[in-house]
Amino acid sequence: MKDAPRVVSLQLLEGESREHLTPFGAMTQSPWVGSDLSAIPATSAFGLLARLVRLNVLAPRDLFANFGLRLRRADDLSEVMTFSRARQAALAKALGLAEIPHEWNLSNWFPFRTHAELLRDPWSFRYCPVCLATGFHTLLHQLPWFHQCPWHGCALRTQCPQCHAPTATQADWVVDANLRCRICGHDMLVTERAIAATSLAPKGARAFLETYLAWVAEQRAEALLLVPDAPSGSHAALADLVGMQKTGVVSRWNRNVAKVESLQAHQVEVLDELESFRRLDVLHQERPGFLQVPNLMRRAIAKVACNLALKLPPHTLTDREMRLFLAGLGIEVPKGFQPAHREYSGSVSMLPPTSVAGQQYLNLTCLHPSTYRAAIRLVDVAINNSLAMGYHGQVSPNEAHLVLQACRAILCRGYAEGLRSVLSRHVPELYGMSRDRPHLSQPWVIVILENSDLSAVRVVWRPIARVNSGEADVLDQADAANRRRQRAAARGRTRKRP
Amino acid sequence: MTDELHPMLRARRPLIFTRPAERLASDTKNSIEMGANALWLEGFARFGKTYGARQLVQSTRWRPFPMYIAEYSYTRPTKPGEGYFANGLLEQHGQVVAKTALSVQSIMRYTRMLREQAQRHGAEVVSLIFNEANRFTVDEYENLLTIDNELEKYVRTFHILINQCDASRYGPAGIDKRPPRHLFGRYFTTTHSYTGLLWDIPENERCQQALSDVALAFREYDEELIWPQGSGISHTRHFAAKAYAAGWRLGTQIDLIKEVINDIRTEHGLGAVCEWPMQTFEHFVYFVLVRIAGENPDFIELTKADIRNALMRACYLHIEPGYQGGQE
Repeated sequence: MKDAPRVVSLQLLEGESREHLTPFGAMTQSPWVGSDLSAIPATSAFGLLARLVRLNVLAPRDLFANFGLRLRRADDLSEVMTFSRARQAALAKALGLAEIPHEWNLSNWFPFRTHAELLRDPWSFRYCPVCLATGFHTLLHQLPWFHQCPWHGCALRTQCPQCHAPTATQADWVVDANLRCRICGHDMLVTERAIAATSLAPKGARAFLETYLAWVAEQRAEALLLVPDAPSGSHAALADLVGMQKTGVVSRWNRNVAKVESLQAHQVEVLDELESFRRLDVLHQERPGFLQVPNLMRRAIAKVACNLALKLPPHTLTDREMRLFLAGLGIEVPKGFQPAHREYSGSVSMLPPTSVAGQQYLNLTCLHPSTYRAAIRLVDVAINNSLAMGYHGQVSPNEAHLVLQACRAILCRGYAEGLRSVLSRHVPELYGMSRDRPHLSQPWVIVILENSDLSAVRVVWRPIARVNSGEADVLDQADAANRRRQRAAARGRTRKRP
Repeated sequence: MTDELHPMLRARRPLIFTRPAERLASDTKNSIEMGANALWLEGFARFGKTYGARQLVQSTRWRPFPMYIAEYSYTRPTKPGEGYFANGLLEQHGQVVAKTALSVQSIMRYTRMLREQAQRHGAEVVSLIFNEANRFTVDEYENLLTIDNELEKYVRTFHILINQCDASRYGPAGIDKRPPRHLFGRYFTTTHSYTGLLWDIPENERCQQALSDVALAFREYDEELIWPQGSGISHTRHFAAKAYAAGWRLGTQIDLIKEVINDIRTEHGLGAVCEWPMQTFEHFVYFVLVRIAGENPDFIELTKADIRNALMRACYLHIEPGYQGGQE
């Protein structure tokens, strides 16, 4: 046998390896056409479902029969599949996945810790036309800080690219025509291209998505987003915040600032900072009323009132009111000051910080609650993230310094906006002043924690939504809501903040 | 756990490349190159048609074009419908079938699945192998035609229809006479007759084949099937280490094996042996290697009694065409 002549020209016997020869027949790895997640990186649950629906020729009623997804026809499938963990779990189970893919959770795409619901109101399905045509959609396209598809470079859309009608993402498609525009018939998902792309992710997508997800995971470990009570304009705010995070162009106060202080001054300041924390504690109340302004903030607060008063047109404040506005900085009324021809107003006189027994008090009714609540949340984060247990011992001097600087900036801006808004009732001329025109905004704060120590604070201000009401009315409404909550709390019932 | 067992001791024993499969590959290649739509593959039961076709799935060098090949077994439904046909293929492919789907949806889905797989494998030709195609009626061919028509918009198709020519229980085939012209032209123009392992080299193959089919099949166990991978230990060497060291191979006793087979055949009124069905060949090899050689550390070579015993254990006679039964 050993010396037997060799067989020639036999392709199987001579040329094929026996390693892969098996008595078993081949089966597909995934139970639905287009469901192989290894070929499509970081797809969204909706993207996958839309692709499955198209490639497997499924009707709306098939969603429950095959995936356990019970939906109404009016439901926006993209919204449901993005925010409903139960539906995501059902889909994952139907596809034989061990767990819900990490990439289906919108929170995992944020570079800070927060809840994904922020992007829900208002929700609109956002997509890259080139990616979606191949049956690929990723939650990256929903993020407001991306305006273009990173690998195709085309603008992300929320409407039909041809007729600008809303995208047809409801669960009531015609079979084999999901994601087809109902107005012009434009097919946003092209079957042929989706089949061609089942084994091939868009060029550059995999690398970008892996890099991005690694970056956000790293950022998320350190960054925490403090969301206003009644957030408005969340998409724009998040876009701005992440833009700051990405570029590093931030209004940032970090511990290095504190380090340059001299040791003696620093020690004195530490005591003052701890006392400041105690004073800020009043902001936890439903309707705080007055804030005993911490020493570190006194000059800045007084400067806000003073600056505005000096900018106001002639004949807007009375002589006495003007003196109150300037008192904080110890400035005399200017010689050319022209007082208003009206009676002294008690309400206007309560707007500047009031000095009593050497202490300065700030009337918080002229601040929008989202402002001072952002400040006290910042304090809470600094305290709760510390390992020490005692109130004053919880925050390190550097953290305290950083938090108070940030609080000062937040309160000063909130006060400046609130002051102009309330004053506009008495001084309508303010609306004619371009820079000092009354407007209200709310702070979105990102807190950076390194080893449980607060190391940086980033703030973005976005306008507060108001419908047919002036800025002063918005403040009145917020104060009225505070009163109601205060009364409810007094009766032992807590009301949820909006 | 199973992978730790020697392949010959597992529930499913290893496949080997055989010369009949090689001939099938050659005919399939020629048919595809010629432009045929299907190959009508026929042969007796247990001769190895299914595994021969499976070898085509698992090997690539014979293919004239990049191909995606899938294999199916067709059941015998009482009311074969379009939906049943497509759903059956989907399910056999490991796909979850939408219970509420209309037949047209199932067919669309099935063709898309094949196109997806073709895309994934970079295939230019999609080939479906139908086991038990002898159960097909005109309706099934029409269903296959529908799938072909849909697929051919995007990719070429070529099917292998495995027909068991002695499946008398169900009649010779679902189609009694000459099939309709549109079906005949597609599926019945090229035929391959699958044989067992031939004992003699066909005259027209002597230029490329120096050993008989049986000798080549023995050589697979003697030299080609290695376990563990990369160890260089063939299956024969594993079970008959002492004999192997002394130069014994399955192939060295091929003449004696043929002699014993002919003796048995003569005793039962059968003519001289010309081919060996794959089933009894494989069972014979298993019994020789695992039971006779593997259980005897001093095994040196097979005796006539060993061979006769192994052939009886492999039920050699029972599936031989022409065997009428009787005392063994």
